[in-house]
Amino acid sequence: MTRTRVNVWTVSKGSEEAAAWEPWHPVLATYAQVVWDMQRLAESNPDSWLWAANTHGYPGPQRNEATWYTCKHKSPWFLPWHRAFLAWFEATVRKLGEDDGWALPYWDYTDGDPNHLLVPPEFLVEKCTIRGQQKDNPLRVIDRQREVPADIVALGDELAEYRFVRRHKRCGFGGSDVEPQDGDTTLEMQPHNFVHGALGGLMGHPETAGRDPIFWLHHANIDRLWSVWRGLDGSLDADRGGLVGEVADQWESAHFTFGGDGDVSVFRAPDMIDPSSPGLDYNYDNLLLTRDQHEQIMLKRGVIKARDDSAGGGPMALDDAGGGDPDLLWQVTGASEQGLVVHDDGDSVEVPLDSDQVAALGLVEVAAQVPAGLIVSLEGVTADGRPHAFYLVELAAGTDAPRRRVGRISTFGIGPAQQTPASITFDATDLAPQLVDDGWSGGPLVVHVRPDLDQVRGAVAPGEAGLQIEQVTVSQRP
Amino acid sequence: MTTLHAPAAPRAPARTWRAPRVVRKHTGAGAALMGGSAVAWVLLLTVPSPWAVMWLLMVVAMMWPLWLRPADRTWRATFRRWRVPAVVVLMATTTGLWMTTGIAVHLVYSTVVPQSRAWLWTTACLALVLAINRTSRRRVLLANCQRMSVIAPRGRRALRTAVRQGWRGWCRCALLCGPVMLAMVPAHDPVLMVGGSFAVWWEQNHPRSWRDPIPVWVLSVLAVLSALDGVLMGGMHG
Repeated sequence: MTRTRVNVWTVSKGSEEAAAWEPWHPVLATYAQVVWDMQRLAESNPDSWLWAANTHGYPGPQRNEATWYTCKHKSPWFLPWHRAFLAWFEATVRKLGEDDGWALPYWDYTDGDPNHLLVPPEFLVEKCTIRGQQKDNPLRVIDRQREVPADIVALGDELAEYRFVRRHKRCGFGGSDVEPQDGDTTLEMQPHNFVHGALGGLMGHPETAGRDPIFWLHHANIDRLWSVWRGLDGSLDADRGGLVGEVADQWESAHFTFGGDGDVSVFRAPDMIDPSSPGLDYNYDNLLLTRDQHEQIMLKRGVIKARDDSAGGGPMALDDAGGGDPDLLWQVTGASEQGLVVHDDGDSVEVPLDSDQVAALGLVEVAAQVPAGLIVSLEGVTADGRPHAFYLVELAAGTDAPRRRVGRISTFGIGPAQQTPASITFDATDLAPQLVDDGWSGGPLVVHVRPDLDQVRGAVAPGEAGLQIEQVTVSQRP
Repeated sequence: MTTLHAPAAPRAPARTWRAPRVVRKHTGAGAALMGGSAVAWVLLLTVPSPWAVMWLLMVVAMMWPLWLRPADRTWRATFRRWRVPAVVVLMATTTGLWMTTGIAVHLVYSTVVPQSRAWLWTTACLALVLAINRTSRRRVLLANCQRMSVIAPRGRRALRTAVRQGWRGWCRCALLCGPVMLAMVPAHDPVLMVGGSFAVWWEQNHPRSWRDPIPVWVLSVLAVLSALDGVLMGGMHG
C-alpha cells in the first residue's frame, strides 16, 4: 500500500485561533493523539516517544541501548539514515494510531510563501482535543521559535550540486567521503541545519531534536527535497554513479537498525534511494519547484558541471555515471598556522599559500589569472559551550582588503557532545574574480569568521569560546 | 536521464590543461601499505622468527590494511614534500603502539599463563570479543572508526597532527580489535591470524553493519577451534 505524505499546510487549520477551537484534520489529529500516547510510555519501551527521540540522540552520558544516538550527521549516510528513521517512526505511529494509511506530513518552508515560514499553528496552540477531551497540546514546545527566516531556507547551492557524494574536501548533495564533514552544497547544511538552528530550543541540538514533534515534519521535508533533487536533470544519485571512494564500497552492505531487541527493524542503504520501493512505500503530493527556483538551480548546475568538465579533460554527459572524478585533482595549497577562536566580535586568520605546492599543481600563473577553483575549509570546528546558531565566513585578499562573504555555517551538531571536530567546506570559486580585483595575486588570504548578527539571540556566555576552528585551508585545482 | 547542456561557459582556466579521467582508488601511501602487508604475510607464513619479530610482522600484515584510509587522507591533506614524512609518522605511531602493547601483554602472559593453558587465553580473548560485540559502546566506536582529526599540511604541525591521528586511531583500534590481537599473543597460528584478520577487515569495511553476523560467525568458529585444540589436542598449536 503506497501512502502519500502531504504538505502540512494543506491539512492545517491555518491560524492559531482555528487550531485552538476547530477539529483538526485527521492526519494531524492522529499524530497528536499518538504523540500523546507515546509520551506516556516508559522510555524503555521501543514504541515510546523518548525511545524514538533517543534513537536520534540524547543528552548526558552514554547509555546502553545500542540503537540509541545512532543519527548520522556530517556524513554521506545522513540522508539514507534519516529516511529509514522516519519510515520506522511512521510505522510506529501507524501501529499505535491503528491507521494503516497514515503518513507523516511535511513542513514545506521553501515554497516562497512567507506564511509557510511559520511553524504550523497546530504546533503552537496550548490545548487540543484528544479522544474528545481537551488536553495540553503534545505538539507544542515552549522554547522553540515560531518561524524560520526566509533567507536561511532559500534553496540554491545544494540542489544545484549534481553529485550525491564528492571527495574530501568537496561536498556533494549528500555529503563527502570523509566524516565528519559538511559543506555549502549539502542538503544537510542548508536548509536542514539552518532550520534546526533557527528554531532553537530542543530542535537546536541533535541530542534533543527528536523530542520536538516538529522535528519529524522538518525531516519529512528534507526527505522530500532529496526526491526533488533526484528528479532534476543530471542528478547523479547514489544508484546513478553519484558515489565515490569507500562510500561506494560500503553502500551496498550498509544498513540501519532501529527499535529494541525484541522488535528490530533493519533498513538497507540501497533500499533507501527510492521512497516507492518495497519497505518504504510512500510518495509525496508535490515534488515541484517554482519556475524561478528551477531556472536558477539549473543555471548554477550548468556552471558547476562545466567547471568539472574543464578539470576532468573535457565535456562529459551528466548521465555518464562511470565518468572521471574531477575531485581528485584538487590539492591543498594553503593552510593557516593558527586556528580561530570566535567570540562575539569574530576572529581572523591569515592563510598563506605554499609556493611549491602551487607550482606543483601547475598554477604558477595564479598571480596573473583568476584561479579555476578555490575551496576554503574550516577544519576541526568545535565548541566548548553553546555557540551561536549561525556564523558568517568571509574571505579577503589581504588584511585591509574588503571582506567577501563565502557563506554561513550552522552550529547544529557542533558542540561538546560531538566526539570528533567537524570540517566545513565552502566553494569560493565564484569569489575568485573579486579577490583578484581586490588585489590578490597569489599571496595570503584572510579568513574572517563572526556570529551572524541577524540571527544572534543573546551573547555567548563569558568565558566560553563560542566556536573554535583548529585550522583553515585553501584548496585549488588546475 | 536527460543530459544537461551547460548554459553558461565556465571561466577560462589559468592555463590549457587536460587531465586524464581519474579512476585510482588509493594514493602512494595506500599502495605502500598494501605492499608492506603482503610482504609481511608471506614472511609470517613462511619464515619462523623470534616472537617479537613475528608480532611486528603480524601487526604489519593485519593492521596496515585497516589504515589505508587514514594514510590516504593524510597523504592528500599534506603538501607534496610532507606527504611521505607525515604518513611514515602516522604509521610508525600506530605500529609502535601495537608493538609496545604486544610486548607488555606478552610479558604478563608468559608470567601468569602456563604454556599448556595457552588455548585458554586465546579462547577467552575470542569469547570476550563475542561478548561485547553488540554493545552500545562498541557500536559507537565502530561508527567513529573512520573519523579523521585535522591533519596540518606542512612542517612540525604536520608531524604532530599525524602522531595525534595515529594515537587516536590506535585507541579506537585497540578497543575494537584489541581482543582479537591479544588472542594471538601466545603464538601466531595461521588459521587464527587469517580468520581474525578477515573478521576485523570485514567489520571495518562494513562499519554500519554492527549487527553483521559474518565476523561473529568467523570469530565463533575460531573460538571453537581454539577450545577443541585445547581440549582434544592439549593445545599443541598453542
